[in-house]
Amino acid sequence: MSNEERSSILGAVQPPPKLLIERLTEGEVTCLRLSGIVDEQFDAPGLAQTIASRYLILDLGGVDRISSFGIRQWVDFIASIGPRLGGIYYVEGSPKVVDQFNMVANFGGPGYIVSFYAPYRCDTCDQERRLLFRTDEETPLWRAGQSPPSTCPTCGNPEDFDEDPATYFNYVAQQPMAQLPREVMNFLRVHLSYGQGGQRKLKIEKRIEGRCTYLKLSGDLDSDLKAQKLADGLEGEVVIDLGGILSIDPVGTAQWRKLMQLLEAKTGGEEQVERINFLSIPAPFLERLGKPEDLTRKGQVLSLLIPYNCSRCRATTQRLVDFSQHGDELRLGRVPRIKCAMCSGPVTCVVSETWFSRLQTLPQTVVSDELRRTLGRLTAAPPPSPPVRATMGPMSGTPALAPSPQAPPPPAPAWTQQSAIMPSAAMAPGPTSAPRMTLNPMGTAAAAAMARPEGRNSLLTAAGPMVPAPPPPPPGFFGKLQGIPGILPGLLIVMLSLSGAVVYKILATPSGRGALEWKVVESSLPKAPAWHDPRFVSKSDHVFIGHSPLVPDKVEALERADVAAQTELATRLGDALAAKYPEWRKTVQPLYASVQQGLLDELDKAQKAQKTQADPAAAEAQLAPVRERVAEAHKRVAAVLRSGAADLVTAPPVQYWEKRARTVKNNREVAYQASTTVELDNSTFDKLVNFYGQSESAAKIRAVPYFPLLAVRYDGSVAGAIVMEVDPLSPVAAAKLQASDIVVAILGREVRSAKDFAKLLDKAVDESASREVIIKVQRGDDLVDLKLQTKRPAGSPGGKKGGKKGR
Amino acid sequence: MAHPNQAGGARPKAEQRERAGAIVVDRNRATNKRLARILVSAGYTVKTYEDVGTPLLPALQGETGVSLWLVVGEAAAASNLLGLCSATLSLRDPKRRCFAVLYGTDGELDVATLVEQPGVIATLGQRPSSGRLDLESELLGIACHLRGQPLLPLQAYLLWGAQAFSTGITNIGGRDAAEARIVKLCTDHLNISRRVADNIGEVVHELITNAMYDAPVDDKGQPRYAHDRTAPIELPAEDRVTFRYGTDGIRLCIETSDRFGRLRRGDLTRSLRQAAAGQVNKGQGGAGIGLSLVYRTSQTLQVDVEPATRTRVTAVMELDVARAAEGPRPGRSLIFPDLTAKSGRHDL
Repeated sequence: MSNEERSSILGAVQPPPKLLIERLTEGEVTCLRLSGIVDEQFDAPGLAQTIASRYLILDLGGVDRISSFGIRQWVDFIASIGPRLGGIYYVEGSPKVVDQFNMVANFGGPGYIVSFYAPYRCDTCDQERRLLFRTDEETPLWRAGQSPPSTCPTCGNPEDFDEDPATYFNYVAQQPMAQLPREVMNFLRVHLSYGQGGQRKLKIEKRIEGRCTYLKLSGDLDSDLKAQKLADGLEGEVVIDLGGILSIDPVGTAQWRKLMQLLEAKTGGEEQVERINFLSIPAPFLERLGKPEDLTRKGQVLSLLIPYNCSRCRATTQRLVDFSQHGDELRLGRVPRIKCAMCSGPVTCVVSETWFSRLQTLPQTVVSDELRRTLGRLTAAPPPSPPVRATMGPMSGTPALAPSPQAPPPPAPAWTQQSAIMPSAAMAPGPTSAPRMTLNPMGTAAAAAMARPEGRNSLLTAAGPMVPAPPPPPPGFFGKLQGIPGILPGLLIVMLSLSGAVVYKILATPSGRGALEWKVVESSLPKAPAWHDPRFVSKSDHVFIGHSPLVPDKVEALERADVAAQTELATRLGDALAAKYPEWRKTVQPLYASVQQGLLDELDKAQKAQKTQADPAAAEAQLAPVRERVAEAHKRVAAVLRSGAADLVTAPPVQYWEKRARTVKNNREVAYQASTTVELDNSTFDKLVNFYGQSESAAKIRAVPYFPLLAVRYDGSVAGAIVMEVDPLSPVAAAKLQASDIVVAILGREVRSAKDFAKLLDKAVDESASREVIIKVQRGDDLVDLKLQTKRPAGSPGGKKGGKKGR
Repeated sequence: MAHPNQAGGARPKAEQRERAGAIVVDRNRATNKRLARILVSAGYTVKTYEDVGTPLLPALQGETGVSLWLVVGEAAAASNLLGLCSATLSLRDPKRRCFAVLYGTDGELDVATLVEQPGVIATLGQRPSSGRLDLESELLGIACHLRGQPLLPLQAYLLWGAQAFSTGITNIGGRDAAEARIVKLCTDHLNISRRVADNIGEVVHELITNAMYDAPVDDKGQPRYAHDRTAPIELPAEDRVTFRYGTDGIRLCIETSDRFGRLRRGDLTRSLRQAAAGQVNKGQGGAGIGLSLVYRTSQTLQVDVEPATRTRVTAVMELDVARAAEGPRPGRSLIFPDLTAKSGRHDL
């Protein structure tokens, strides 16, 4: 669907504006977060009028460009607000902003830079990265005009500073250090996670009630997300609140996927995760990690944050929408109509095409009453201490977001009669469902109270931060032990000694774990490419990577890696087709989805069973046939892809292999492992999507080409065209051809493509006037012969009577 | 169609060409010889000097039949060359014109000061020993231009075979679309750094905005839109800004042209001065630093003005930007010949 078509349906939905301004006001501090382009449309006087608090924090990490007139507007803005404020503080200035500080006098006015980004680049990976520096660092290297060394997190090689360090650090190096006001410090700590050794360090809060575990993530989703650690102990109903996520980097993406895989794998064991519920998903998160495979089969979305932009004051307002209740309307492109919380001006929804396509693939949400009640209790925060007043901005006069008996109830969205957003954090009654305009959507007093300074380590302890005072000593045996002076340290020493002995024993055993590990003895390249790592996540959406298992033969390893990459391509094509063509999603996807899933489930099950098997040989024997079946299915998928769209996939695959060896019981084993990457440009991928999605018509019947993933269900003998729609007036309707039938042969001739189908069907209709013709279709698991004979017009020579079929 | 450069101005036709002489000053003899050969190929009689302090006026006065002088020299010879231009002007001989081209790296040349000097028509960023032919091709283009040829077209800055595209722009929507298109070209198709792409987007924005808001004047010569940059405007079709771009994968060229020909060297020098001082305009009109932003981002900035007829600004940008870790960055070139104003003729 084109942008124009989308706009006509959505009405209020427009392409994102050039500059987004988000605002959060709390007490004496207002924070504005700018992202996009600052140019002549930056309304300096208008924005200046809305600043009435004592301190202003400007988060400029998202500013990409500033035009010359934008600079002038900016200088005017700072000059007009500077004298009447207690202080202006710049956080996370982007390189473009740092350039302006260096070039333009009074760009920052009386403001103080708290933190800024510096651009780095890894030539090996051809990747750019920004590192955040804080000006309160002790004797930083950059203060001497030098770039601090940095290492690429992907390949481990040193990164280059991507600017002239003397010029880049010129302004900040000369800025005298200053003490931040207590209110500003507190705001930065609470809302941007400053002062905890990181900048916007990821915070994870965990609460448990019965079998339901509630996790709230806030800050930058990056390497601080430790998937394994977080997944440990999770079971039952898991609820993940993503409303506080500020940005996502590639490492965070990889960790998130790993976390989801780990939770999905928790099936059937002692720690079983039944379902993963997602709350308050920000738009960028849904775009990036909202694919079905990222949310997993256990995942379901309960609520979404939808961004709106005010055309008058340019502030961004986020609306929390209950997906379980309004999913169908959202999928149709209808969003709630709201007004700007700052100026009551008209707002437009600013979401991308990708966001809408993600909605189409989200599963139907099922929320039980019990889960709703549990969520209501879990998301209701403890009483804030000390109380923090969070307002929607000084000009709006909007009541505090914190539940307050005086606050009027919020207006209901135009398209729904629901006054409260259920079942998310906004489940608490009252004004929590009002439009939120926040930097960190934890804009409520309750949320502010949840963000305590204990740091993420303490928060990872279940219910730890929820406990306001140290609990009394537990009763019983351990409680009594605590009463005996010196007994606990003594026990600790004994336990440490025992654990030390165990560790020594493991290290001293010659056939320990290390001896069984595979070591790389030879490889096709001196250094493994980054994409060889299974955790590697490409920045491009159209890079398809496949990895082989360890196999004894190099050629087989390479072939299996190729097949895996092509299967990945086919899977992603399936996602894109399902998102682009709803009819395709309804007709074609069900033909293979359940079989594909069943195969993966079987593999999962076998892998889990392998872990519990005491005898490795028996476990391997159990797993091997399942692996083989999956491999065979993938081989068929790759073969169909190659034969169907060979002309379109012209990009050569890039391969890498490693020879690995290990010694087990004095026997040296050798195996090979390979990886393949296929990179397509956007246009090629789009062509492929169009190729499989566009139908051919004949005799009022539409059909699309045979899709490669169907090969997971059918063997190589099945191919053809998939019927999408049969017009009741079609001459072939009498033969009872149905949607979802795979037409494999007509008139005894094989159907190899949708074009073949159209040509042969036309011919068959012609011939059916004189004789009965056979259309061979694969319907479900059955191969069916459909007989077709059309009536001849009455009186025509040789015409048969009464529509008799057959000769 | 006649080339726009032939439509007006004071350039002589080929058959009436004046005798042209050139002086090259560089401490390196090989460089002297190399540049001299290039100027000879453009029809100049060339004298070379290795001593940057050699008095040059006698050499110029000795050639009475030569009415066009082009003096070319490295940064160290700047004061000598500038003195020669001034001395030529002080002769008040209307038939004798003298122009200077200086070359050196960014640190060696004070561009903002140099382009204010009478007679300086270009400062070239590359040194002849850099291994690239940028200086040579730019110098040859300037030398030919002084003798009546048009300035280098956009495609001359690209490898042979590179294509260029053009479109007419009449409003802000068109400008923003052009800007977005170039940024998308850079990031999605040319796969270059996002930061470099954003910088190029800024150049597009500045050049088109200047041509849309500052160039158009009414019948009385009064600016139409320059007083309010924030007002949405719709240019008549005949006043539209022609936007051209082309790339060879190594460089990307952006060019805007309008039919008004109002850009002056003073505008550029003022912009460079303001940017150097970190100041922006407070009154009406633009911020006054747009051209300096363009100059700062471009490898070469060429301004070709036919007064009241046409302004053509060409910005050439490298797609692989060298980093500080890879040694000193090459200098930038600024080509802004002003053949009809007071730069070359003291009496005009």
